[in-house]
Parts: sequence; C-alpha cells; structure tokens
Amino acid sequence: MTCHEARDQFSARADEVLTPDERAALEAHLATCGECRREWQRFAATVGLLHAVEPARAPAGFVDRVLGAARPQPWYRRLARTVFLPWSVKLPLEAAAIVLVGGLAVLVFQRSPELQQTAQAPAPVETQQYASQSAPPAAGATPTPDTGTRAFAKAREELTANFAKRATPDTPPADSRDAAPRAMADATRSQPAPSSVNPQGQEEFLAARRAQPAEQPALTARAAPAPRGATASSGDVSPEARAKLDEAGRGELTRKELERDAVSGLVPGRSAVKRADPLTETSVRVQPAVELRLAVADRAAAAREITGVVERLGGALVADPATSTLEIMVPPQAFPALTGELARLGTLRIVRQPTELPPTVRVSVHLTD
Amino acid sequence: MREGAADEAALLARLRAGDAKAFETLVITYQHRVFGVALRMLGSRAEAEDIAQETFLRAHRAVGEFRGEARLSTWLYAIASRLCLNRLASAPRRLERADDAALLRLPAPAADAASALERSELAAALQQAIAELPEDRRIVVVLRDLEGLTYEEIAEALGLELGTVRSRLHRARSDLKAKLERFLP
Repeated sequence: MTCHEARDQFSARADEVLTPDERAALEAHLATCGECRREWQRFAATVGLLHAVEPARAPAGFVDRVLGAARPQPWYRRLARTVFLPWSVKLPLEAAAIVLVGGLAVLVFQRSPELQQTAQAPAPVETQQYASQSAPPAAGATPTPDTGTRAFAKAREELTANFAKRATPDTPPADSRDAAPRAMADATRSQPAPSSVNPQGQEEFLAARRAQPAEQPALTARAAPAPRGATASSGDVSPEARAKLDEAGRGELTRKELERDAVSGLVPGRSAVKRADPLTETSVRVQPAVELRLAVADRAAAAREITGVVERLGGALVADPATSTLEIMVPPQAFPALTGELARLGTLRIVRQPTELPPTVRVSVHLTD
Repeated sequence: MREGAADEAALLARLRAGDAKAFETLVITYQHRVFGVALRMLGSRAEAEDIAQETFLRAHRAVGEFRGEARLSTWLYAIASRLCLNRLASAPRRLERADDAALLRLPAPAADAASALERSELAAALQQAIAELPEDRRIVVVLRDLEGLTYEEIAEALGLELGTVRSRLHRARSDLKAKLERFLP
C-alpha cells in the first residue's frame, strides 16, 4: 500500500467503515510509515474537532413562528396581506395611484368641453346622419342644399342642448318629435318616396325643423316644385325670418336668437302646410306626456298670457293658431307652477297626465271657449 | 436523542391524520437539527431560520407524500439540504462570514481558562474553513460530522451513491485539515 492509498482510507477509518481486509492493510502501512501516522493523527484531530462542535440551537420563539405560519389564515387576512403588506411600501403607492387617477380624470374632464357638454346633454348625432341622407332629394333643386340641412341639424343641436341645460342639467334634452307632423308635409312633397329613408332619422330631421321653425319655409321653397300649399308657405316667410335663415345657413345664427325664435313660436306658414296633409301628421305624431284642456273667454289673450308664463318658468312654447293648441316643454319641477298659472286663466281640465313626469315635460294645451 | 422507531411511526401517523399537536411535536423535536444544517450551510442566522421554517412548512404540506421508508429526520434533512443548496445556487454569496464568530462554538476543556482565547480562535478558524468548502462537500461534512448522520442516511437525503458520499466526505475533511494545520498536533 502506498502512502497515498493509505491516506485515502483515513476518512473511512475515522468512521470505522473499512472492511477487515482494508483495515488490516492500512494498519500494516501505518505501522511502518511515521509520516502517515502523523498525518493520521492530524486527520483524526480534525474529525474530532468537528465532532466536538456544539450543536446549533434554533432561536427562541422559532416553534411558535413555524406553527403560526403553518396555521391557515382566513381569506380576508390573506387578502389584506396581499393588498396592504408591507404597509410602508404599498399604502403610499396605492394612495398615490388613487390621487393620480382622480386628478387625471378631473383634468381630462376639464380639458374636454365635449365631455362636459355630453354630461349635460347627450348630443343627438342622428340628426346629422339624417341630414346627409336627406340631401340628395333636394340636390336637384338647389345648388348647395345640404348646407341648409346641416345648419338645421346644428341649430337644433344647440337649441336642444341649451334648453336641456336650462331645464334639467342632468337629463336628456327635450324631444321635440311631436312637432314632426307639420314638417312631414314638406318632407312628403320634397321626397316622393319617404319610405326609402330611415324613419327614425326622418323623425329626428323633422324634429330639427320643428325646433328651428324659421328655417322650415326655406326648405319648402327650395324643394320646389311643390304641389300644394308650398307657395303659400314660402310666401309667408317674413323678411326677418329669411334673414335669420340665411344666417343659419351659414352656421352663424347664435343660440340665443334661435332659442328666442323657438320660444316665441315664430312659425310662418306652418298652418298651411299642416292642413295640406293631415294624414301624414297622425302617422308620425308623438303624443305629449300631458294633455290639458283650458276653457277661456278669449283664446288669443290666453295664448299670450301662457306665452309669458312659459317664458317665466324657463320652458319653451309653440303655438298653433289654427287648432288653438299650444305645445309647451317645461322642466318637471316647473310643471305644478304651470298648471297653477293655467288654472288661473280659465277652467283647466287635465285630459291625460302620467303618474311620473319625464325629465322634460311636453304639455299640450288645447284652448276652448 | 433520536425518536425511537415506534415513536416516529406514531408521530408520522398523527401527522398524516392532520393532528396539529403532532406537527408541533415534529417542530419541537427537530427544530435544532434542521436549523443547525441551515446555519452551517448558509452562515447566517436570519437565513437559517428562514430556511428552517420553510423546511417545516413544506414537510407540513407534503407529509401525505412521505412514504415513511426513510426516517423522519432524514426526510427533514433532505428538505432542508435541498432548500439550502437552492438558496446558495440562487444568489452570489460572500465567501467569508467569519465576522459572526458565535455561529460555531467548541466546548471548553475542563478548567482550561488559558486556552479560552485559543479555543475561540480555533472555533472561528473552523467556521471559516467550513464556510470555504465547496457546497457539495460542505453539506456532506455538515450532515456527517456535525449532525451525525450515517453514510446511508446522507446518501438517501442527498440522493447520492454511497461511494460519492464517502469520497466527498474524505475530501472535505482533508480540506479542513489543511486549513486548520496550525491548530493541529
């Protein structure tokens, strides 16, 4: 056995795992080799040193910590740990994130007038869509027909938004589709096949005309040749209205002017149109929410009175002298005041009234003797 | 010190039944041994406690998979060794940890006050020497010479052949002898 082979056995000898033969051979070598004997002593001392090392002891409280960690925690504890721990890091981060998001939302809202407008009165986009659809029939008659149509849409939008803002800031704008029948007569004349047009869009378009009555005769005139009543209606257009119409056509008519005209019920030539095709009217007429009958001594005087009342209450009014029917749009909170005022003018009878008033109350008042 | 085979079998049965008290007994019984392996391997009390706790938590979760062919202690050593080696492999570490001399203590020879200083020096040198061993040798010498496992138990815990355990242990002891030369006769 060489010294190298002998020293390779030291570890096994220390652990006493040598076979009897291996052990005998090693002992024989050690008996003759002083150097290996010294090496063995050192080796054995090293192993002895290792064996003498005091066992390590787990720190105090270790068992409790392990048992605590092994115990299943209720779900809300685990959730809270996930969301909030470590407090020092996650809480400030989460607070900062909330402030940041909130601040951005406010900033975006403030910087976007469209958003503010939408929040107050959702813009009726369909009107413009219809405006482009309705352009072709008139195209043959006038050089730039859709300019006026677009002006209608725009004017109607502005008026609706303005009215809704004044009446009920958080509710949809007044739907003036009930006025559609009057303008429908125009539509039927200028468009021989109205069924080819989207009915809903048509209604919107007609409502737009209703909301800006000063424009109405202009289209009628442009959509010549008109079979009946058209001449009369176009002839009824006052110079003032025509001037406004031109302004509106250029998109320059101010909201205030439009609103004033709508409120004062400036509707030249409408009665002629209405009478021209009453069937069309019934087919598209939307019933007002409230129907009233007011028996008065003098209908004309009462109509004037009502106009004043409606203006005071912040509503809008359209008078139809032919049928002695007034159509009024008021915010629901002004409705009791309106009926009070009407009752003061004569004998008021409520024909129809819903249990719950819509965001904008459309009232039809039929004046009788 | 070790649990008798019958005690161990009973403890294992209770553990498998989900007995919370049995788990407490397991932790109390083996805490120092598991912590000792982690401490010698990692050289840091905080890390050692972390690994020891994780060892028991894994044992708690996986006791159903433990076949019971090995001793409970061997199984725990196996988990702890694997966790230590993974931890050592996962991050580069400082080689020397000799500043924390209290990690390893040698018993005082009877009434030998004069050698106290030398003894603490020796303890520090031994600790340093162990820390400097390659990890695969260190784990073998820790399990054999500090924790007292048999070759077979080490082979089982580390998944090694007996011959590999023997050769690694021999090399580890030879390395230590070389480093502790000045303290040896």
